[in-house]
Amino acid sequence: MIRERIRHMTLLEKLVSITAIAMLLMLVSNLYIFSEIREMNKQIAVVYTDNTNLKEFSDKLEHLHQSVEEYVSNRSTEAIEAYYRDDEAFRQQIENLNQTVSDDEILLAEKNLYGLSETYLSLASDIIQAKRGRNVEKYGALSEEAEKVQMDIRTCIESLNAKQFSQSSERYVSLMRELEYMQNLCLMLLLLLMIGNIMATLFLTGRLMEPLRALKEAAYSVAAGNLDREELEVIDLDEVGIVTDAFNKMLSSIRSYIHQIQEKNAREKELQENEYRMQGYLKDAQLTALQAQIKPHFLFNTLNAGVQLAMMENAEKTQVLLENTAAFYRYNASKVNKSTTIREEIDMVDAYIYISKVRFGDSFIFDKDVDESLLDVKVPSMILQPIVENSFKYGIKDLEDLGRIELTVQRIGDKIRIAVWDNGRGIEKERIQEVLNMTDSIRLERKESGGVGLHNVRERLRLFFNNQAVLDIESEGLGMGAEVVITIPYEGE
Amino acid sequence: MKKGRKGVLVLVIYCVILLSVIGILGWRSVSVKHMADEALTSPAEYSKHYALITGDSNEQFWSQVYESAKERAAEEGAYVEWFGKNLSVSYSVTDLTRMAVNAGVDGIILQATDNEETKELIDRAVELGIPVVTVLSDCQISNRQAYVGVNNYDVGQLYGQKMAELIRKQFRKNIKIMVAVGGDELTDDQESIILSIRQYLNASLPVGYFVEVTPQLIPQNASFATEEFFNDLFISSDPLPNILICLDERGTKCSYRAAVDHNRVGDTTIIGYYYSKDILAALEKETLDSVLFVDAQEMGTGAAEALLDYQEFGYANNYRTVSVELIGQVEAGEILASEDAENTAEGGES
Repeated sequence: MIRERIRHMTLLEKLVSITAIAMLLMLVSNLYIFSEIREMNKQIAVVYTDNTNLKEFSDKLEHLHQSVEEYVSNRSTEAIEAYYRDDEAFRQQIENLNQTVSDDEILLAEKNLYGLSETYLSLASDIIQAKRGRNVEKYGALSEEAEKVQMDIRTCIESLNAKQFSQSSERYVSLMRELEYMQNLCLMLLLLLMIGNIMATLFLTGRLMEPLRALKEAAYSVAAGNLDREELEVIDLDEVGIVTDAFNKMLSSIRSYIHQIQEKNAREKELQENEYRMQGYLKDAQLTALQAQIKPHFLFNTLNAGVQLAMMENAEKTQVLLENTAAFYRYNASKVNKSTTIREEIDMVDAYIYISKVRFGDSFIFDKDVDESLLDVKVPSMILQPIVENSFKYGIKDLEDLGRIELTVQRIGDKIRIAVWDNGRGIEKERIQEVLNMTDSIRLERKESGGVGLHNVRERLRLFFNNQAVLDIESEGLGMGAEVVITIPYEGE
Repeated sequence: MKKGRKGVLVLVIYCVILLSVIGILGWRSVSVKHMADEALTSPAEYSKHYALITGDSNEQFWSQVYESAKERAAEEGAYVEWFGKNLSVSYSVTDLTRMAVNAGVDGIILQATDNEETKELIDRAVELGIPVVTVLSDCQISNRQAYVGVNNYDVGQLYGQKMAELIRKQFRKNIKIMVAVGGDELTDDQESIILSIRQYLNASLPVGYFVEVTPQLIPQNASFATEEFFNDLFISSDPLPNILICLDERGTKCSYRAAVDHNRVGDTTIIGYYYSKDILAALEKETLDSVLFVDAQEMGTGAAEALLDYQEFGYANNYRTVSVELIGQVEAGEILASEDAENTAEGGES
C-alpha cells in the first residue's frame, strides 16, 4: 500500500518528504537530548536545596534569639509578638528536620539539631516566663544556657551545612561527570543521526537519480546507434517514470519504423534484382533472336521474291515452303521481347515443323492435342518452338525408327499444362538438372547456341508468371524418350 | 542482489549502533535519576540513639571502641554516634556531654574525668532519664549507671611486673622511673596506677634496690606541648630516667619519636600505652620496649551492653573490667603480620 503510494509520488513530493523526514529526525533527537539535559540540570539544582534550607533555618533561629533578647531587655509588646511569631516560624522550620535515629550522618545530625532546637525553644519559653515573673536570677541563668544552646545549634548547622555541602559537592561532581558523559553520548547520537540522515538522503536521492542515470545512458546508447537495447524498467510513476515510459515507447516506435523501412528496401531490392535479371534474359533472347535475324530484310525480300517466283512458275510446294519460312522468321523478328498467345506460339511451331518436314522428309510424325479454349492465353514469345526444336534436334533427329513429337495443351484445374513429348533418345536423370540449370554462357562455351536454350525459356516463364510457371523435363532414361512440360497458371477468361 | 545485501548489512549495523547509543543514554539517564533518588531514600532506622563521647576522637583505640560498641548496639536496634566527631568545631568532653543531653540522646558512653563539672553533667543527664556509662576513665562521684574500663590496680601491677623484670636485667640498684602523664594534675586513676607500680616494686625487688617512681605532668596549655616536652627531655643534659612510662598514646608516640630524632634510642627504656600502627612498628624495631594493651573491643561491647542492659532491665552491672596486657616486640610482629595478611586479602577481594 505504502510502496504503491511511494511509486505514485511526484519528484517534488519525494524531495520534500526526504527533507522533512531528515529534519523531523533531527528535531526529535534534539528534543530528546534537550529534555535529558534539562532533567540533569534539575538534579544538579536539587543538590543545593538542602543547603538553602539550612540557611533559612539559621536565619529563623537568629530572629528568634534576637526577639528573646529583645524581650528580655525591654519587655515590649512588639518584642513578645515578634517572639511568638518567630517561635512559631522556628517550630515550623524544625518540623522539617529528621527526628528518627538513623545511621546516615546527615539525618542523625538533623535529629541532634532537632533535639537541640527543642531544648532551645523550651529554654526560650522559660526565659520569657521568668522575665514575666521578674525572676531575674532565673532568666539570667536561662539566658546564659540558651546562649550556649544557640551556639551549639549554630555549630551543628555549620557542621551539617559543611557535611551537606561536601556530600552535595561529591554528588555534584558525579552528576557533572554524568552530564559530561551524557553530553558526549548525545553528541554521538547526533552524529549517528546525521550519518543516518546522510545515508537515507543518499539512498533516497540515489533511488531518484538511478532511473535518470539509466535514462541518460540509454539516450547516449541510442544516440550511438544501439537501438536493439532492452526496455528501461519503470520503477516509480513519477516524472522520471513517465519520461522513461515515453522513451521506451519512442524507442519501440523507432525500431518498428526502421524495421518497416528495411523491409521496404529489401522488397525494392528484390524487385530491382528481378528487373535486372529479366532484362538480362531478354537481352539474351534478343541476342539469340538477332543472331537468327541475319539480315532479315534481305532474307524477307529474298523469300518474298522466291514466293512470287514460285507462283509464276506454279511451283506450289515451293511457294508454301517459302511462305512458312518467311512466317517463321517474321515471327522471330517481330515477337522478340513481347508477349504473345498460345495460338501464335503453336502457329510458329507448325511453321517450324513444315520447314523441318521439307528438310528432312517424313522421318517423323508431329501430333498436337490442343484445348482450343486456351489458345488465347498470354505467354512469353519464343517458348514452344525452342522446345520442339530441342526435341527434334536432340531427340529424334538421328533416330533410326520413325520419330514422333506430340504437343499437348490442356487445362488441369487452375493450371495449364503444355507438354512436348518425343520418343527420341531420352535423357539421363543427372543430365536433366544440368540442362535445366545450364546458363547461356555455358552453352555458348559449348558452342550449342543454335536456339534459345531450355534454361532461358524456363527463366523467362518464371519471370513472366512471377514464379508460378514451372518447366520440367521428364525422361525414363536413355532410349526412353523425353517430355518437356510447362505448367502455367490459368487465370480464367 | 549483492549490493542490496551489503546495503541491508550496513543498515543493520547502523541500527544496532544507534539503538545501543539510545539504550546507553536511557540507561544512564535512569541511573542518574536513581542516583538522585538514592539521597532521598531513608537509610536504616534505629530505636535508640547513644552517644559516645571521648577526649581525643582521632585515636585508633577509640575508633575500635566505637566500632565494637556500634556493632553490639545495632544488634539490639540501637545506634551509637561518635558524638562531636563530625562537628566543625572542636568541643571539650564536657561541652559535648552537655550538647548530647540537650540533643536528647537515649544514652551516653563517656570517657569521663573525675571532676565536679562532669559529675553535674552526668547527674543532669541521669535526671533527664539519659543513662550514662563511663569508659576507660571513671567519674566515681557521679550517678553514672556503669563503668567499663581497666582496673588501675591491675594496670599498675602489670607495669610493675615489667619494670621489675627490666631492673633485674639492668643490674642497677638505683633506678629512676618517670611516669609521664598529660594534664595539669593527676587523676585518681593515674594515681592508682602509680601507687600500684610502687607497691609491686617494693614487694618484688630485693632489699638494696633504690627505685624512684616519679610522676611527670605534661600541661596541655599549648599546641604541641607533649612534643616539646619530650624534645626538651632528650636534648637536656640532665640524665634521662632509666625507665620512661607513658600513660597515654600521645605521650608514647612523642617519646619514642624524640628518642629517634635525637639519636638516643636505648638510652632509656620506654614503656608505652596502647598501640597504633606506628607504635607497633616502633615496638618491632625495639625503639619501644613494650606497651599496655587494653582490649578496645571488649570495652566498646561492654559499654554498649551496659546501656542496653540498663534500658531493658532498669539496672546494669556497675563495674566491668576490661582485660589488659603488655605486648612487646614478638607480639607486635605477629599483629603487624596478621594485619598485613588481612589487608592483602581485602585488596584481593576488592
